[in-house]
Amino acid sequence: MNILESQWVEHGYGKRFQGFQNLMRQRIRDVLLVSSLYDLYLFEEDGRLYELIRNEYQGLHLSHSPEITRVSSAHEALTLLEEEKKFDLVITTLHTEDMHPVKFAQAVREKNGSLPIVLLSFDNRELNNILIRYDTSVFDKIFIWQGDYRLIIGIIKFLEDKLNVEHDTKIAGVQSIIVIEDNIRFYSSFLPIIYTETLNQSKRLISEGINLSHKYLRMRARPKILLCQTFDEAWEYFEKYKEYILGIISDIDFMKSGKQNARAGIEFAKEVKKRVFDIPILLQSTNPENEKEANQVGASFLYKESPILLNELRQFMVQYFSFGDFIFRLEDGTETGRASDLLTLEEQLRVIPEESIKYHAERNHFSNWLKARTEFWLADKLRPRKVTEYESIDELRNYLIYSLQEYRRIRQRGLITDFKKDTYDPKNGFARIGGGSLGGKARGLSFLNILINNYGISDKFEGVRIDVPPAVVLGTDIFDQFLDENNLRDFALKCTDDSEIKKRFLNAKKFPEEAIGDLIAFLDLVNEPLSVRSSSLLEDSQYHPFAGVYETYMIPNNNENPFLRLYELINTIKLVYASTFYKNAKDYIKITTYRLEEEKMAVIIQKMVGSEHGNRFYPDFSGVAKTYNFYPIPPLKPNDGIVLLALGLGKMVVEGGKSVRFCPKYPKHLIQFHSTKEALSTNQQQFYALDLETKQEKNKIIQEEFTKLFDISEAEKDGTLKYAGSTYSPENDRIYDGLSYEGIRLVTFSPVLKHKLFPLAQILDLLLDMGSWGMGTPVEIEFAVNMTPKDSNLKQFAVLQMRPLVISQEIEALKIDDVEKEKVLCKSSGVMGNGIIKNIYDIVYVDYNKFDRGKSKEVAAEVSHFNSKLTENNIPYLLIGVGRWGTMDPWLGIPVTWSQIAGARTIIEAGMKDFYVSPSQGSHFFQNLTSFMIGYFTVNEENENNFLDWNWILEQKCEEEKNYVKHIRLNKPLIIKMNAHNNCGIIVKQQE
Amino acid sequence: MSSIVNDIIATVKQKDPAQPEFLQAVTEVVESLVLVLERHPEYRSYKILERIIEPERVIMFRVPWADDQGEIHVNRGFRIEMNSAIGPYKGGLRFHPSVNLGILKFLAFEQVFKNSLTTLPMGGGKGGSDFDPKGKSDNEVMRFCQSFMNELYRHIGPNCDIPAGDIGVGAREIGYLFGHYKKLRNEFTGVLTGKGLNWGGSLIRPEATGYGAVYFAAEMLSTRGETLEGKTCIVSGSGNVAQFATEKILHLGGKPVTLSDSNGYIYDEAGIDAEKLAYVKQLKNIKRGRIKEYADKYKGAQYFVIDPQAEYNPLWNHKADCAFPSATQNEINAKDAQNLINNGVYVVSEGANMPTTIEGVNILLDNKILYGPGKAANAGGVSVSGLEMTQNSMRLNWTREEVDNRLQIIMKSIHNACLTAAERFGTPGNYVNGANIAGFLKVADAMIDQGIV
Amino acid sequence: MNDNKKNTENSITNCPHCNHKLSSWEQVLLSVDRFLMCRNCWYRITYEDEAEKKETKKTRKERKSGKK
Repeated sequence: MNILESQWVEHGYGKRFQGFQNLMRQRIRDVLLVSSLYDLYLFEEDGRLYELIRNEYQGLHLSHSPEITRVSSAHEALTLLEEEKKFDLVITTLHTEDMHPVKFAQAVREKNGSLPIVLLSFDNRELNNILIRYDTSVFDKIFIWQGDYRLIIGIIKFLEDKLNVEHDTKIAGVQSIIVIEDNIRFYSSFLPIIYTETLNQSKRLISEGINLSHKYLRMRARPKILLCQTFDEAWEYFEKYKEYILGIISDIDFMKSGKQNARAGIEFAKEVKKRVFDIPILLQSTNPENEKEANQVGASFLYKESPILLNELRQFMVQYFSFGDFIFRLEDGTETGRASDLLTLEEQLRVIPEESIKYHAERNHFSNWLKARTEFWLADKLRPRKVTEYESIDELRNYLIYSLQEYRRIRQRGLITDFKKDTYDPKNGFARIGGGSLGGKARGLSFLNILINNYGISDKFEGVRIDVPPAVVLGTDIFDQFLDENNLRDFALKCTDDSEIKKRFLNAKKFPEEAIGDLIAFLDLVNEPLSVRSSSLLEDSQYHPFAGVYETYMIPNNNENPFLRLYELINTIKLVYASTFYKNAKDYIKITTYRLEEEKMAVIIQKMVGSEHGNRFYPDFSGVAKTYNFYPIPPLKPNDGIVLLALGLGKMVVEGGKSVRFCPKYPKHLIQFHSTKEALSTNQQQFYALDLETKQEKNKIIQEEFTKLFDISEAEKDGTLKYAGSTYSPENDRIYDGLSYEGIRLVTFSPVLKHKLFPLAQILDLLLDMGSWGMGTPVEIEFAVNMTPKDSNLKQFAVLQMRPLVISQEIEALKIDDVEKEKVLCKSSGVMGNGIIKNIYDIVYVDYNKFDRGKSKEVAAEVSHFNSKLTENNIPYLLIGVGRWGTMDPWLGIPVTWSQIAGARTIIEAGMKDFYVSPSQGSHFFQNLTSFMIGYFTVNEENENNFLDWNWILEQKCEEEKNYVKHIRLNKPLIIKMNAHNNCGIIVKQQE
Repeated sequence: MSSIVNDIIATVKQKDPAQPEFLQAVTEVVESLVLVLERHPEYRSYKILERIIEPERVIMFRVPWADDQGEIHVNRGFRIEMNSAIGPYKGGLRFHPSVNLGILKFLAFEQVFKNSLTTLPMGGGKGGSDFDPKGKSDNEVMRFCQSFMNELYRHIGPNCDIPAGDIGVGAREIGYLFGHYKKLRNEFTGVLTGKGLNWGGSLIRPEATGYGAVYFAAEMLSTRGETLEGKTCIVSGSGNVAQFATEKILHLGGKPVTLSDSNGYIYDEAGIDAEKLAYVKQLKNIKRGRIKEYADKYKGAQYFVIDPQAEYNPLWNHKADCAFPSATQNEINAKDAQNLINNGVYVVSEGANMPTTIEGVNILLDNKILYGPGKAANAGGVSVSGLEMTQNSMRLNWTREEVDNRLQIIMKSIHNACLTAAERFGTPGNYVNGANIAGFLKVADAMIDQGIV
Repeated sequence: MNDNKKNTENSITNCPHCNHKLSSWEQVLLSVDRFLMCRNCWYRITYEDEAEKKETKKTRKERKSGKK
């Protein structure tokens, strides 16, 4: 299978498609130069050699400039080579003190077989001397220094090309130029010129909307230069890399089959043309009469002594090596159009006459031109198509246009490019405004975007499109500028009054100009409701997800007056900036190891997901999915994940409102709906939507909150309840799926979860897996779904955020076995909850001996009494009892309501002696358990993994006791450890 | 006479040592029947007690089923057919992990007397399984029910044993059970109650308990030649029972003035009329709001917070004629009872189960209040089950009015039975004794008639 | 009943070595990266090899049925 048939992943997110990063793997980084001090002086001119080289490297967008180590003697060199072994290239001059350079080279060869050695001579005469008297084949190449420091670069690049050509051609089809020249002086001056030219051309061509880092990467795919001295050497290259030869620049008089041949070049050209008729060939000679013959074989000619040699060379390269514009022609040579980049190429393709298209397609001109621009994927896509494969030229034309468009779309998606009005696609663009960092949230989103695009997730589910809603991100530089221009920084850091901060920020007069222009352009393109969210620098941390610390705003963005829309947006951005300094944030940061001064705020402005229903805007449903469930009920396991789903905006879920819980691996196992009573009491009755009616008026107090709560009956009117609704019939005491019955409407999402209206569970299962694979930790994903998007007949599943889940580090350190039994108060293998609690001194327990199931009601009342007493004084406690907590059936346990025990931080449920109490609870109670993150231990039968030290409890002196329930206060706190991975937990006494 | 009690208790302890709930139930029943037993030595010589505590039949069976992943599970199924002296066995099925033989026996035992009290021809039984329907998918529940019915169908039938729902067995499960029964037996009969309205269920089910409590009160009043017309009524709670009790009070011309929930209660001097009641239904059933909002909406009403630690509940401290505790257990203690009396309340009809403490009950009885214990007053719910059976046998569905009428007639009968029994045994007007005794007598007498079976 | 996913006849759903079921994400990884380590038995699954095996099975079948 051809690698190039699949998508190119430029950034290495796919394991194998390293793309451009895999090119030019072998590099010359460390050069050992053996020369006299004077030679070095010559090199260094006025000491600027290194600097020049570095500049050259940077200017040419080459990433690694080499390090040169100079020694003056061969012996020193050999020693260094022996000891350090890190050099990639040895350059030696003729002035090696102690050894003849050839001998030196031989010595190097012996020890380091493949290390390239190059001889650099300063003097032609000296060189000739050596060439005649010695066997210089030991050198990889010989060069003459002619005062141009770029020769060093040329040497290095030439060697790198030689090392990498086989691999790069195989992997990516990188092209090469064969240069045949045997005259050392000539190629020494010529080589750097060709290189510089090639590099400059390549650099120029890599321009379209690509990040700086990618430009560097793409430079690696520039055409290679294969310098040869003989016909045979060149032919070997040609045979090997035939289709990838961009062109040939050759002398005419050089060695062929061991003999000097004055027409070698001509013959070479002829042979080449026989095999590939359209490879551009440039023949050079000191003999101007060769021109006629050169033209006869179809090659261009260059007179070596021409005063404008360089210019002519450049012209040739530009014209024939496709470095210039694509010139559309007819068979006879008439020009019919020009294109300078992909965009104009696409435009021209629409209008160019058919004959032109046929002409170029047959000769693979499109491919070559694209390759010169390192667009290998496109080149390959367009290459193998023979004109005859198409029914009509028109079909071919359409195919070409389509390929270019598709490519543009693919490339845009998944990358954050700089926002430009003409290239931003309001349907799926993700662009940045301003410099600086993008912050944690934006990075997470961008990462998601890349994963979704590169792994083809977007259309994996029939009828559904999965994507990240289009957005622009204001970089943190804008934040900095805003603070500095308005002198807000110090004030904000020090002020402790949130409303004062808000006021000052909103009244700040200046806003960074560059951003305003882009925002206006953005608003011009996007007229729909927007969410404006914080994306701070520190939010990226895996241990402190900063969830809910900063503000998120949603704005309708629908004012007729575009100025007011801008006003609304800018004010909202200011509000987000202000929230960086609110008390909430300051307090949170205090707990972390960061400092508020380090915090910077980027802002994500994103299209909201949803549809308009009258004067409301909201998605059909939305929610949060987590890879890890801390409170799994069997058969669910913690790693099966958990989802909370609500109708309308996800604000309902995120703020802890009523929602439907389910596990994506078991979407039909819904614990909330097993009994009608539970279903009714946990049901979502209201939903959040964006109110489109309230409009921002100028000079009035800034409207901040545009979201409103609406009753579920409104959703039924809007027609959105049908995706989520079931009906409860009181006469039958039964819940029926769907809305066809009369009765009380319930939000159960049974159409989606049970009746496959939308593949929600499968999508979430896939994304959660993908997210945790990508981030390397369990993740939490926020999402929203629109079943009827305005301009598409695909349903939309939008991912709004992905962040790592905080799982206590202590899980790793948790060792339950290490505690002696005497110190253990309780041990259990049926624990729900996670982490360590170390601040509990108080225990409220139901006396095991006195407990009488017939009196469980009194027990409940007594427990309630202690709970009130302790919560009034903000004292957390451990609650221990017999039987099930929270059950209303007095025979099953202790009938308390949640509020009667809400002050407990951990609860132990010890088994009734005669039957097994399963860890599951009446789900209302249970949901409170999980949402308040209360630890829950169940100890049912006594064995080595389940144990509760009643004796110790009963021995303790009571602080207060009632008939059945007692309160103990310890003088040293208990240590409670819970490990959600294996549902094990332990409570350790520290008391003597 | 305590020897009778002791003997029975000893028997139970010896035979079923691991069934404490059953023991407790038996103890309570026997203690309340001491009067009867003293007066009727034939009950002792026919060994009624010894017979009545032993179930006629206990069926225990294996219920295997496969979950959605193909994993096989095994649960245990039970059906305790306790007593069929006055009618086919009748009682619910409970699916809950706590279910075991002892619990079901105690429930079945109580069911015998509850059913008997309704004056309808229903025996007593109970069944279930230790299966936990929570968190199971619809298909899994269905497969379980079908596996359960695979065994149970051999033992039930419209003339022999008619199960109903209970904890963990709701309309959905009844549907699955019924569907499978029909498949196995190839007959459409009233073999289960609690069916959907479309296929054999009865109307008035949700209203039955609330209506029943009010009908009972009306009957008690009629013993003094009075009706509910114009009577001020205190109602506690705001759930099903309270809502429909309020509704029926309005039907009969009374004036309900209070409703409550776990946070507090409202007192509306003007009375809760139909419109306000509709608001409450909306508030509680659909919006799941708090009763406090009633006071926000209707300015004439006052809202009071209930302090669970307080010694008495101010709800019971308002001027009224009748009280309908319909919220929960133990909501009326001795002080509350006294307050009721002090405020002129002379009718108490319990919509809830055991809402009055023993001390409270004693005070009410001592003061000759018309006190209808829950056992009798809230038997409306069970009665409608019986009415469902009736309609099934007739193959006819009555209208709401017809069912409501029947319900009223039944409550009348219950009332009469209690009154008569109480009188017969020397404690006239003591409905507590009356209820206990009436239920027992009917069964005991039938057992004597039917020979030693 | 179809589960709304685009059906690729060549999609590999189980590890050919130990038959451990691959999660949907693992299937995606395999089809894009062309190789995947089975987390159950550490066998290195190569997409081309497996796709080929399925193809040869298919063509063999087709040949058989074709010949008849």
